[in-house]
Amino acid sequence: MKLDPAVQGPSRPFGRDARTPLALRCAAAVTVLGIAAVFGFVTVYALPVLLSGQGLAVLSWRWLPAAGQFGILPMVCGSVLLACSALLLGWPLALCLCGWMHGLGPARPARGLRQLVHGMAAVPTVVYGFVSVFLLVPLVRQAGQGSGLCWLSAALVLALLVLPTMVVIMDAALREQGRALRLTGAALGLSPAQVFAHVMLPGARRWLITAGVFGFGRAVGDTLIPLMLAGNAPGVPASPFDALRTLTAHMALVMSTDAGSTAYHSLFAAGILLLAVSAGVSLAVRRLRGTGQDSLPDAEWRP
Amino acid sequence: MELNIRDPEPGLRVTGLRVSFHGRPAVEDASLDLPRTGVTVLLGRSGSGKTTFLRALNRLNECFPGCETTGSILLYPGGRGGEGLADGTPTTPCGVPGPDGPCDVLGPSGPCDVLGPSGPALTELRRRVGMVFQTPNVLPMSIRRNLLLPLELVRGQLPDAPARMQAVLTDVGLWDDVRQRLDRPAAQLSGGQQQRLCLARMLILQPDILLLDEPTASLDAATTRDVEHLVRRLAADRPVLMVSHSLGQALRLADRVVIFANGRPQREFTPADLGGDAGRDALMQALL
Amino acid sequence: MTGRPISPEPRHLPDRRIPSGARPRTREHVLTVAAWLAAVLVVSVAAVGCAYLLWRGVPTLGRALFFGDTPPLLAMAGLRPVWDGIWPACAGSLYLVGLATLLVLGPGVGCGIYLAEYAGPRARRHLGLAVELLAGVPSIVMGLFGFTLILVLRRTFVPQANTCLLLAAGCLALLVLPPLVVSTRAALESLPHGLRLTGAALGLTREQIVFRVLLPEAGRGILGGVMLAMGRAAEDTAVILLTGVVANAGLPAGLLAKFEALPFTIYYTAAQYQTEDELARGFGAALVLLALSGSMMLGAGALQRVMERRHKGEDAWN
Repeated sequence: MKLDPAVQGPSRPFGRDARTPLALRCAAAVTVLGIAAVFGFVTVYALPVLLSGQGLAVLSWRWLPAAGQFGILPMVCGSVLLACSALLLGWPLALCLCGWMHGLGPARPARGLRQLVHGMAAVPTVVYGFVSVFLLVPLVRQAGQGSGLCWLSAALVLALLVLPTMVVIMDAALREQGRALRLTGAALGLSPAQVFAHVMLPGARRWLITAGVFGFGRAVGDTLIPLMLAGNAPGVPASPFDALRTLTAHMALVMSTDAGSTAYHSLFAAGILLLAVSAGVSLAVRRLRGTGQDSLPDAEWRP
Repeated sequence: MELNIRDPEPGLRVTGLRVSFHGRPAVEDASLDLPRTGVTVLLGRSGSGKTTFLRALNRLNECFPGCETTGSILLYPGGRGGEGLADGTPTTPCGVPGPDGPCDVLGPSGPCDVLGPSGPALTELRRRVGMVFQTPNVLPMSIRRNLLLPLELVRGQLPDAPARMQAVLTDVGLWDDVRQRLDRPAAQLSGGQQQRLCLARMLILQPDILLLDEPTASLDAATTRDVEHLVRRLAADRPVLMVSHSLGQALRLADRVVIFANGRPQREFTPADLGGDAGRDALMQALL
Repeated sequence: MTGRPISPEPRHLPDRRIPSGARPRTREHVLTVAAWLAAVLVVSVAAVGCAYLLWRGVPTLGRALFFGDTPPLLAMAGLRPVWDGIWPACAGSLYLVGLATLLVLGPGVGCGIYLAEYAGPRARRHLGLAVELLAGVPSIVMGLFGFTLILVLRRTFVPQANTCLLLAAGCLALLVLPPLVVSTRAALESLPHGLRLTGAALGLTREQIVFRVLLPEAGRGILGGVMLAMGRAAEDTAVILLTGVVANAGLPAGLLAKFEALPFTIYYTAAQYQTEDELARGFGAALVLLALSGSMMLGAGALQRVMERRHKGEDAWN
């Protein structure tokens, strides 16, 4: 057994030890195997589609299964549009909520708002969708033309859905900063609002971006909200009241309608696109928070 | 050597102060007068309530949950109030922009009750009662912004802000070190430099009273000496209240040493008391 | 001694500020207004949504919601099918969550312990990256993975393989693996350094320190992670959509059978409901799922916060 002093972290009196219990090694191996399988299987099935002649067929703007046209570009476009619009609505909202909790609002109710946001994170996606179908969609139907199942409805609800994720990340970063800055700022005669607006906000920029990237990842990957609320017409929407179809909803629809084996090709193409986007988001988040920290401030997983 | 809590002409008078957190008192029945000038050093064991006492004076304890403060803290307007230094930046013996002329918050005459229901605005009080903490706490921004942002937020846009910045930086002995890198992050400075920057940041707001919570705890010997010299000069025209753990420092700096124990000032020594060995023995005894 | 001054009488001064220069106050003012608007908006949206769900859902709660006309005991024993109640979906969800938890417990907790206590810096970095990548995978893609797995099995060993309860639970387990790993690791790493040193100083072996000292101490945090994983497994819809959930299967007949699940029932009701009764059942189901998964996730959060406070409490002061 070789003890390398460089790897002896401060929290490890024993240094690095090769004698890891077998059970733990197995657990780690199973985890790695599972992860490799997910990426491997989807890639193996998707690559032939993208590399062969069908690649061009899949990457086109027309989705007409009856006519043998299986283009998924409208869905790519739908995913990007929906995620970006949800982020455009949700990110500033998250920022303002965090501001309210960190100096712009009164101190005591801030705790209540934080609990509310944690509570919102614990609500199942499908419940968001279900309530919106009967509460929001009729309103949108009255406001615009059409069925109310449209880009706007989905974007509004999706913004609400990704809000807690972003608030939790921003809140954790701001709280870490705030602990040190609150007293300093107060001792200098700055109001809490001034400390937030002029000191904390610029200091937390990296985390605000991280929250945005993370929120984008969640918005792109969500299936239920677009499936239930966006109308699912495979075209590029011209207005917020038009229906759109995202990649995720597309996958669910293709599976449930059994459109035949050629349509499955588009399934794998959509799958690998989503996988690539999610991997990109994960890497970007990792990059943004730097190598020093091992995890986001406070676990990002906390509801 | 009994505690002489009453000063004929105080700059600040604390009477019957009690600070508790979630019902547990940290400071109880504390009374103390600060003279208009000079350094008062608070000595005492850790946990005796010195820092809480200090933070009560600019109501910083209220930033902590469960805090309750009762008693009275009276701030008396600075002696320079009536001396016609209102126009522009008054010069003081140490060349730092001094207190701000007649203090319209503390009033031209008569004291004001810090804890009273209609006492001074909190932020204004804290500007008037400057504070430096034990560990340097620079803001996460450039050196220049560290000084100019609080000034701008508290005082508004001032045309001579850069000159004020240079004056305070010179005064804390930092100007020559940082003049070339004013736009670098303040966190890149050494510990001693950061603490001096914090002093400068406090001074640029022209406080009337200085509260120093072990300002040299994280500094090396040479820097400590520099800061001590600066504190002495600043004390020439305003009260300075300083918490210290070092007996030597107290003897070097203090015009008055106040022993703090069980949440209140217990005994007081003057330099005259401390002149001989007997005085020091008494001080040591009081501390133990 | 009273708290009143001796002399002279205190003068209460008006809240005046020094009139010097124009204050740049617009930024925090705009932000303050926006923050208040945001807070009011979010609170009212949450209140309206919640009130609406309760208004529609609460009246449906009762025996009929779960079992319809079937006698509950017979239904629960699987002796009589339930046609107009959500019991089969509830049972399916419980099976699903239980199975997924069973599958994820070992690898998740084990991997968390490994990362926190045993892995070298390289292994930490690489395994950490892998877990993060997995955490980002959208659940529908996890479903797609399950589907490809079936395609592979059909082509190789098991020609008659089809999507089923076991497959769905396996995919769900993979989906909730990262949160469990992250929670376990965070719980262990949040323990004070002194605990390890004390153990070592007492002459305990490394295994004894980890399994006898650290793990019990981190228990709440890990339990929080498990509950979080269960909550997420209960609420996820996209994975099961691709791995064998159906609208009418009754109670799950076995690990290799199709199944019903609460979230799918809710989704299906929103899209396909025929009668008002079905719709009301949908609201009831939504409420039940919210209670089930929401309480688990909130409980998890509370447990983890308790854990954090226990070891961080002192810091708040300085």
